[in-house]
Amino acid sequence: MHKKVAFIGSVGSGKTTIIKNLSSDEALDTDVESSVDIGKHLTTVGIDYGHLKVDDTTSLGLYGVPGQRKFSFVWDFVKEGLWAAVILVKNKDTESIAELDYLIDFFDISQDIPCVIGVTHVDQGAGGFTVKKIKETLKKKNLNLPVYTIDARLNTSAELIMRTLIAIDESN
Amino acid sequence: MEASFKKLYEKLNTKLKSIKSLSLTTSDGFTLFSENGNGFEVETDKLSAVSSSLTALSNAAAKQLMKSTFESTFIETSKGLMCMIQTKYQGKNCILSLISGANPNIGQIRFYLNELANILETVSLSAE
Ligand SMILES: Nc1nc2c(ncn2[C@@H]2O[C@H](COP(=O)(O)OP(=O)(O)O)[C@@H](O)[C@H]2O)c(=O)[nH]1
Ligand SMILES: [Mg+2]
Repeated sequence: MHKKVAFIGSVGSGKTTIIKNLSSDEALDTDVESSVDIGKHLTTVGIDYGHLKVDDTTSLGLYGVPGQRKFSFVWDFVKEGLWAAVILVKNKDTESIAELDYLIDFFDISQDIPCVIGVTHVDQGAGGFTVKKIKETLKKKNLNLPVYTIDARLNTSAELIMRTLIAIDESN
Repeated sequence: MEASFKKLYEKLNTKLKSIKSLSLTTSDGFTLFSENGNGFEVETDKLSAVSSSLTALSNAAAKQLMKSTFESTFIETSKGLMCMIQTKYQGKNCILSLISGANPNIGQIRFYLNELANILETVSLSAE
């Protein structure tokens, strides 16, 4: 069975990095040079796609969207037929934290689909404040989702996220 | 060399006839210059964002599936076609997008658009 997982979150939150990290084959790369200062050199303008084989019967299609809202026409078709979603929030980044609210609504995130939130860049400073802000947003929306502090560059973090999604799915 | 985007558009329009829209966009989807034909309305920002996404996907297809180098993307419809080609402007990778009128001639469009893309690589543009 092929299942679709979306990776969403603001620019620089680590979506492209975590998909490259998880994909069994070379991930589809649509990053280009940014012409404005967004705190990093490259930015995704198309879509990230990676493929993860879970076992003999299950594989996951990993779809990463561009973080900038002007590309939300890409979000529209990634949103269709989701099995699960991963929302990444960049630690201590006010815009990234505020974007969570918008993304939960846009992608119709509910308790019905497996969803995990990952706070990235915690190696650059403690994540306590960001996690607190996220929990407030979730509470306001009556959602109870696992929130992890992770490093999108590490295999162990990526695996923790995927294992959690599968566990939530099995318990639903 | 200095040139005006509007003049370049008008020159192209005399050759290709009834172009609906011509725009120069950065690879990451910001509009640099844009001209529309009489009565044709298009959201310029959306056109730039779509051109940026499609070109990046076309690039990925060219490189990762076809093991080649991207040149252009054509979208055909019953009302005409949209064509996006890679160019450079002031040393930066950019996309030249054209929306044609009805009954387009693909060969002609490809020829004149490539010619324009070459010009853009060396000029400095003003809007008017
Ligand atoms: N220090 C640190 N850098 C990270 C982390 N996650 C991603 N990065 C880096 O942040 C930059 C932006 O990541 P990217 O995957 O392009 O973000 P995207 O815009 O969400 O796709 C890259 O240079 C990554 O290597 C993290 O947890 N810690
Ligand atoms: Mg990205």
